Amino acid sequence: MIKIFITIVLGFIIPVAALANTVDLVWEADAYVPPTYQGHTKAALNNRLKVVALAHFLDTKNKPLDPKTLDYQWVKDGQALTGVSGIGKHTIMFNLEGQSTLGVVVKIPNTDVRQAATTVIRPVDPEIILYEEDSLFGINYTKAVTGDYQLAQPEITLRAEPFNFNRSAVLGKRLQYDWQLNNQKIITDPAEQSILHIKQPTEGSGTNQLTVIAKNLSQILQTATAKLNISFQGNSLFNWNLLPTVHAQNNSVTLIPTGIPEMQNVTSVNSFISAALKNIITLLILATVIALAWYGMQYLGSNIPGMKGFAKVRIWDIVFGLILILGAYLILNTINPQINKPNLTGLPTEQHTVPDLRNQK
Amino acid sequence: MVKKIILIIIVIVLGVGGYGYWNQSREVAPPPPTDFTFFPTGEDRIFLATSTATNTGQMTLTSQLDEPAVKLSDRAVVSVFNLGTASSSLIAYVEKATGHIYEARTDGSTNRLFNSTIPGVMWVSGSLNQTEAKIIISARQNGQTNNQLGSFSLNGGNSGDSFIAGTSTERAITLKPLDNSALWPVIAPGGEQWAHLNTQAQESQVIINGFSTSSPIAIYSSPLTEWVLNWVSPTFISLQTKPDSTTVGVLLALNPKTRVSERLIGGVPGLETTLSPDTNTVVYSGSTGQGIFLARFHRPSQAVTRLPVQTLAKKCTWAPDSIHIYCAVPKNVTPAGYPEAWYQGKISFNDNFWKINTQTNEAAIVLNPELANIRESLDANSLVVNQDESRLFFINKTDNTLWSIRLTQGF
Repeated sequence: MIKIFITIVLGFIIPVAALANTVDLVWEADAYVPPTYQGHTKAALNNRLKVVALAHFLDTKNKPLDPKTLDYQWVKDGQALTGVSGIGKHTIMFNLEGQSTLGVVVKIPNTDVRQAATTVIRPVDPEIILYEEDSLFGINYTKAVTGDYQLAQPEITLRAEPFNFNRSAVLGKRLQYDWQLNNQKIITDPAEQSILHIKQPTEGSGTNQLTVIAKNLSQILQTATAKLNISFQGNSLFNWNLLPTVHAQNNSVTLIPTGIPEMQNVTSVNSFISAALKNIITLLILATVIALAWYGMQYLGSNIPGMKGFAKVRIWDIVFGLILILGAYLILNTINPQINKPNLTGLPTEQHTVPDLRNQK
Repeated sequence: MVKKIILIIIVIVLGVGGYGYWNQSREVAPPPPTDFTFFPTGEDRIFLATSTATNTGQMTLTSQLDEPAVKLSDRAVVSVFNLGTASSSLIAYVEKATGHIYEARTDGSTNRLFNSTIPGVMWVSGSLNQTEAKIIISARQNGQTNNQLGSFSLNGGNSGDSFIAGTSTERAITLKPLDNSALWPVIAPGGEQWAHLNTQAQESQVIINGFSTSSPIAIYSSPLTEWVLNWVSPTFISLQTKPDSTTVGVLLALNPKTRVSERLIGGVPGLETTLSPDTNTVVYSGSTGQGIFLARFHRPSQAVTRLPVQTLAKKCTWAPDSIHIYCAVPKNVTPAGYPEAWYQGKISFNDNFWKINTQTNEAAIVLNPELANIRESLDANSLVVNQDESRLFFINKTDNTLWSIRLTQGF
């Protein structure tokens, strides 16, 4: 009679205890996130993953069982992982090489009490996010600097913060940062590649595209890019001596005006003449070429008596005029090189040289 | 003929020169407004606490105090917390740049409590009992973490001085260094102990420390390391996995006295939680893939109910009655992975403020900034309500300034 009573009682208790048992599959990646970031790491390709079966089982007295006494049977992508399964084997680790489906069955040894859980892990790309850094307030993680950015103050410091790259690569400084301004490489201090100081030019305005590419030198598949369009409104006075350059000193770069400097807010007579001269020289050269072509065709193709002689005289006049224009160009260039850069598109055309700071201290 | 040619050249020169002059003299459009102004324009209905420039840093509100919203700080604030007891409120906040601690009063004014300078503050936890308040300040500079404990008597300075009564005067706080390896330290209610996460390579431990000479005790260990710790009541520490939309989260309840852990919620992607003061109810948010949902879990009945607003649990705060909850609810939720898109600063919200009865699911707006002619975008974070529920305090994530809104309905 007692045995029957015990069997009935146990038959009731065990299913109730089984209902209270749970198992959750939670994973973490061996990936870097900023120390103050309160979010979870993401699983990027080639990151090492730790998957934990968080089991909460109760015994017949409704007391929690030690998870180390439970039996864990793992399955990955349909394959049983017998080598890492067993009593107390609540954690497995592996390198993420693609989408993975993990499953686990957790049971109380020598009983039929069990719970199962599955999870699908999809790899994501690591990221680079730009943040503003201030000497007083530190890094402003509350607002990412992305897309189109209007630069109001004379300068700004940007930090490229990596997310979800391999942690040891970031902490071991095996992450390489390549900065570019309008597709031109900026050479930065190798000891502090993730920071860039950006300054407005003293004059000129426009929009520059800033790009930073981060590469894990230990894992070639881990790269990330961040782009930013920086608009700025420098001093709007016209200045012939404005020479756009990209130069890096102590991780500092000055933005490049992309407007037509000589067409901005000119109010003086001198400025009017300078502007006119620049464009007239261009037009005269064009007219010379057209005239040479016209009279050249006349000289070669005309059968009218005297026309060849006439065309020949005109060609010599044009050549003489061209020599005059070139002479004027040379004289003006000697006086002020900025005058003689006919540029109807208004876009900078020089190749920018960047000093190599690698040997500088 | 020659004259004609000369005339043509002169016309060309004048024409080209005139065109160039016309182009140059065109007005350049004024630069667009920037977001680097802490003070809005005059027509906005924002009333600012202006400084009277005293040595105590006391600021007195110079405009109507019954306006819906008040910006209490013109500098970035890193943390706002309630040091109050069951019968009174002491809302304190910490300036990010200096670490100075201010008191935010019910009447809308502020008062600097301590002027000890601690730059790079990133985390603050505080608690108080009948006679003393304790604050742990965690700062980070040049890649190094620096944890310090500050304690101060409630009745100090002049006779009859009381922080709770709002008659306190400024003083220097006494700081004592703590273990700098402690991550996200939290003070227990009552201020007798503090806890932190100790992370090793393969596991993490929850460590309890006393403020006397007692040794630290490890009360829980886990192979997982990415936890968020919160000491809710003397017998309840919540352990929640750090959230991300691509992974499910778990919320555990840890009894620091019995060291028994209980699973409360699991299997929710992007899980964020906030517990009621009586620990019976959990309001939690999760990711729907490209959006958010908010729900309530009642521990005694094990009932789960969807709440009628969509927001993150981190943008909510409980009323002292453990029934009502105040939430900042985004007017629009851009499709993205939450909450990480918000944590990383990629997404900013523009919030309305709601009061929700978690038992009946009734919800009402307490402030619609747009209808109240508040033109600034408010993305509320670190919400705190005072004891009599007359004011709600929060940090505007857009510019890290501290705000206070009057709790009424009808906007």
